[in-house]
Amino acid sequence: MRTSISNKKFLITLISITVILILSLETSYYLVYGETVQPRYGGVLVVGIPSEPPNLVLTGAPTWVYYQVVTPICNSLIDFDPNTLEWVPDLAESWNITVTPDGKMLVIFHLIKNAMWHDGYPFTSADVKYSYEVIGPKFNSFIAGMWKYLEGIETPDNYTVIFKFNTTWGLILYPGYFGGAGTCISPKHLYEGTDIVNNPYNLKPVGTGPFKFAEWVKGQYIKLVRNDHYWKKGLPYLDAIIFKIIPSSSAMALALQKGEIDFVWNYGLTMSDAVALEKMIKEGKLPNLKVWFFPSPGGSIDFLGFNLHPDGPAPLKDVRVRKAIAMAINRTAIAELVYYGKVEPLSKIVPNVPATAMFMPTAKQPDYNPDEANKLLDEAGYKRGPDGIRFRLRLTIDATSYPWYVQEAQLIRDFLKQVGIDVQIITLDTAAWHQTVFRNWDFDMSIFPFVEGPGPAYFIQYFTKRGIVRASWSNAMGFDDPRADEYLFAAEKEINKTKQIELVKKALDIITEDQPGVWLVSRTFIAALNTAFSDELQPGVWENGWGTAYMRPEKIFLKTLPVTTPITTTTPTPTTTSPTITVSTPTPTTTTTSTPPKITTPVPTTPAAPTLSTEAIIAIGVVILVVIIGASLYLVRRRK
Amino acid sequence: MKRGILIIEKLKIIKSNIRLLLGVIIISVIVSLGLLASYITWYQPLMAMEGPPYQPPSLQHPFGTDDLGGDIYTNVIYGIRTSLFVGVLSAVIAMVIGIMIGTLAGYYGGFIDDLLMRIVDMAFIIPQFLLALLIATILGPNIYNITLAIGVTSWPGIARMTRAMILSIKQLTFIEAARVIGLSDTRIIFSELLPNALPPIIPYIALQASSNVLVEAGLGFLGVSDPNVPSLGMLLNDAQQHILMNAWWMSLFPGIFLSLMILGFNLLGDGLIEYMNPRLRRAS
Repeated sequence: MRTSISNKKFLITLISITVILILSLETSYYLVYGETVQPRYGGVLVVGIPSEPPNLVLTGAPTWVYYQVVTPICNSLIDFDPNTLEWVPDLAESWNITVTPDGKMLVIFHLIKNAMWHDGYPFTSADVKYSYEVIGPKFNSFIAGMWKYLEGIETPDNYTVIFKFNTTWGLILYPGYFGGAGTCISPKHLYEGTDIVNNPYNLKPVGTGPFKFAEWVKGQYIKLVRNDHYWKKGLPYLDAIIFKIIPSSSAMALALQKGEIDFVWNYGLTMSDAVALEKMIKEGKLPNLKVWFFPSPGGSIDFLGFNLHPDGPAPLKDVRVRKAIAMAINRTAIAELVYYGKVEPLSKIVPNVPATAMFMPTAKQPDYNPDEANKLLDEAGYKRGPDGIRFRLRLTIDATSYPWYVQEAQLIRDFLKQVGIDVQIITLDTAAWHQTVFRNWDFDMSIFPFVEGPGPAYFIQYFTKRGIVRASWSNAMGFDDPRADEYLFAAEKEINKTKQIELVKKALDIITEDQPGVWLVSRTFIAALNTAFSDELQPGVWENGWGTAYMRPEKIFLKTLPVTTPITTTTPTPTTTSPTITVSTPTPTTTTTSTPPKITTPVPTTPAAPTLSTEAIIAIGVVILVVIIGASLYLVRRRK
Repeated sequence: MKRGILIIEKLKIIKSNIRLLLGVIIISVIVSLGLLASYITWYQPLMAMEGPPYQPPSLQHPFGTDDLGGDIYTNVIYGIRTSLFVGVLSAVIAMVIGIMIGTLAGYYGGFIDDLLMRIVDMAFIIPQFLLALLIATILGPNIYNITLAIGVTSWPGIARMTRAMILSIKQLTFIEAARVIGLSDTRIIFSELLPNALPPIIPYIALQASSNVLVEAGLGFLGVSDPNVPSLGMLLNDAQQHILMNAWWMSLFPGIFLSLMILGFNLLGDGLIEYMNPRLRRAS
């Protein structure tokens, strides 16, 4: 009897254990691999942008609105992993960085062999050489600057490029040189022998990317369509992307609410409108929209810079005054009131975001302490006058591109008023601000929307002697501390990343102590997306927009479409497997053998510019004539 | 009985001058609000963080708080001052320019008249608001530039009117007499013509002021305002930027006072015109 019961028990336990094991294996498999995501082919993504890029040159001047439009059209040599900022393959499938015995550096790229330009031409190393030698220097300041260290570019065969540097230049590890930000490759066969600056392809670009340029209606929209011969097989999923130009933030927010646009990436929506949208979503009023805030990919901050040139205001030359101003400004209040608490008030020179956290130094700015500030100002010899004012300063801001800087300036004015500094706010439009502050150096203080990363290049640009040039986005403050300069220039030549980071940190400690301005708050970026579009196959695509694959929406698809066969086309060039791109797309299941129905989301009806047709003119003319005749008849009658 | 008739007579007089009366009352109230600003407000103008942001009206903040926690009531009252300053001063500037040009055209006639009137025609065609916006943006948005910009774009109507008045008075015999005596042109203009031509034009300062107050608010709404000076237009701009926060008090109160000001000046101007031209008065 005992054995039969224990046998049964044994069996039961055995079965239950097996079942549990199978179940846990299943769940863990599920957790690890997730739901099998079925992408759908088709759909049009409408993106809202606040202004038109000046051109669409692929190896062009990096500005954020330009990136959004250009990145789907093109590819760079390499891309950056969004979290580690390490190189990942794009047009280059592998690479090698070697240092020769005489201190020179060779960067060798091995290119993929199956990429094609949108017009059918094959992509080769000659395109890379031409882009970096001829096109880049004309449009892109990073690449122009590269040539100080670049001896030459060699192309031993169609698929190998060798960059020869005359020294070990550490900045190439970061976006802006071989990947990211305006470093796409342009087609040599369309530019050679032409006037580069006025080449028509600057406005209708031909690239190697997942989307082809289709049309640009100035002032209204730019349309890209699917590249059926993209070298990454099976991609992209969308049929088209339309960039609709909406200059006002409230109009942008309204368009999102109405579903006229599907996506906005930071530029074009003010923080307050985004917060309001977030509120509406929480209240359930906008079920098809999601809004989220994420740390700025480049480490953008608001920096209150002081004019430290010899002819700048005298009080700012005293470091005690500068420290006092830092103590007088309550950065948390600015974060709360201007940015709804979505940003980080800065206690150190860099924000704690992926692009800059690696450089976090030990030194920090003084905390908010208005009493201490008053004491320091008295000590520095600036006593309060009979009206309570110690001295006056001007605060010049760009109120067109950054309208919320007006509020930020008002807060700064109030804070400084409390320590006896009278601030006069001067609002300028963007062009005037660049001219006045960056070229004429005619300011006392200004709020600079500096991008502090990734990489030491920005510290060199804004806080060293080399940056003191009369050009936009330079060291307008005129700040120069030779000790910090030394560390930063050494970091520039260091290719060992760890050593480089140490050198930069030392420089940042010194700069923080010098207080050439007040590092106010970091900036948060905003994104708003129609939830019908899925980014599950490209997670982080919107958050890590260092202008590369992460803003290349090649794996975005419209969830509401049925799963269908991809539009298969035979590629003329021999197909070689493109390597190492971790594509986790399962093969789409065929449901029908017929061609997939082209389901497009309604294209926004662009309002036609009002034109007067001839009939309208004639009609108006007739009406005017009738009125004049009638009036004169009436007057004549009255005279009688 | 007599008393009754007296009262009815008085009421009739009031009724026939109702516009003028209302206009004077409204403008005096507004001006006194502006003058007494520092006595009737308990916060500093343009100071932020006087309270939590986006608060609806309360005893502490009768018109609520704005996006930075500033008190809207204080900013509205001081904003009235700014509007009055800009509106009236720019109207005076427009008056001076318009009267000068109109008088020259009307008195001298002939080629000068033609030339000046063509200039006036061109000035009429250019949209006043856009030109003022352009000038204010170029010169930089501070209060003096804005006043100047509005002033130099609103004179055409006055020029035409002055010229018409001058023309009609020129015909009168006493002018001819003055010329015969040999008085110099300047003397004739300043001591004979203008004193007779100007009175009917004075009410138009009020009308011009109402229009200029609106232009100043419009410029402020578009962001072209002096950030160091409270302005009703700037308050409306703030309200519009934060419109999705549903803070109705941010736009209501500045809007009400702006409308009152414009209404008051209009009534004042119309009332004065009616008062000085009895035949235009409606039959009471």
